[in-house]
Amino acid sequence: MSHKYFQQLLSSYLDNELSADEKLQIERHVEGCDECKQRLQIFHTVKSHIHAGGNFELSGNFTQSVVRRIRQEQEGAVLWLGPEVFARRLILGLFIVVSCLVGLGSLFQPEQTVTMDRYLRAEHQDSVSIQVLTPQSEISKDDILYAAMSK
Amino acid sequence: MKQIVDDYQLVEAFRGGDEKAFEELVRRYQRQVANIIYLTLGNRDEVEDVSQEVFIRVYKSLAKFERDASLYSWIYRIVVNLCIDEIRRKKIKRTLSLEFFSEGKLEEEKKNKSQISAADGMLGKEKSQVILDALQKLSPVHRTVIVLREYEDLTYEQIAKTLHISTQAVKSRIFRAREELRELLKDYFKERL
Ligand SMILES: [Zn+2]
Repeated sequence: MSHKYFQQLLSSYLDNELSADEKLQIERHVEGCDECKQRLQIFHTVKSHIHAGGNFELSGNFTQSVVRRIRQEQEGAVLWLGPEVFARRLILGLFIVVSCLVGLGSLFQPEQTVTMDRYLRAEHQDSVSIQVLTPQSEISKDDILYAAMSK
Repeated sequence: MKQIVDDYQLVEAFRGGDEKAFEELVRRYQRQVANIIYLTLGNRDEVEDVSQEVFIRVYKSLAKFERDASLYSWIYRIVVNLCIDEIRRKKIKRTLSLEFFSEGKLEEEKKNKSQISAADGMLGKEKSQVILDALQKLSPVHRTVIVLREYEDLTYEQIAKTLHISTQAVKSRIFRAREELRELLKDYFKERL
């Protein structure tokens, strides 16, 4: 087995994740390999410093702070329930009002166009022309011909 | 991890409406949670707040906890996810502010990454601090896995169960994290081993 092979196993060896056989082989190799020995030593040092670095102490009332924050969130949620229902109803109300206004607006819209109005006022004696422009009754081809000839 | 009243009993008591059971659970895990956060984020000022956030999440989702997992690995998973979110959030914020000033600073930052350990040695910083600083230079994924291994002393299988990944993935992440740390600390260790 080569040095490269053992080098790949050093990390697992450090974590005690190798079989007894592999462990023995690696120990034999490291004994005679300075590079692997040094690598293992660095891994060891890093490991022990990270482990010892976990020395953070939370404040004495940490549990109470957590409980307090949970209470605050719960109360906040209850308080928000009121405005949320109100906002939902407000949006629905506004929607209904706007829909009604749009409906009413279309009811009162003038049906005749300005051009037609003016035409009707100027030539009210021309009954066939009026018939062509105002779709109150069916008009025939003859009516149109008559209107053109009489003008 | 055998306790006098075991974790499952506490969870059941909490589900039955016993709020004191939750408090006991917080007391039981607060130290480990805080230190995983501290070692992963590398900033003492954030630990208290992020730890509180973890237990608030635990409180809210304890109803969904299933007995087929260990409680500690379920909690650590919440811790790891929260830490990774926090690191990414800060990174985006920092990148945005760096881009705002000048693009050259980003290159400068990358260069500093490899030089910092040697410089720290010259400043006479304590060895533990240099190592913890190097840890902060790893990717969030490598950082969390190495913290669970070196600080919490979890086995590959326990880490795999915590992070929902294969033991092979754990093994290779730990291997890479160690190699990266060794590379970062190479100059520093030259005269100190
Ligand atoms: Zn070797």
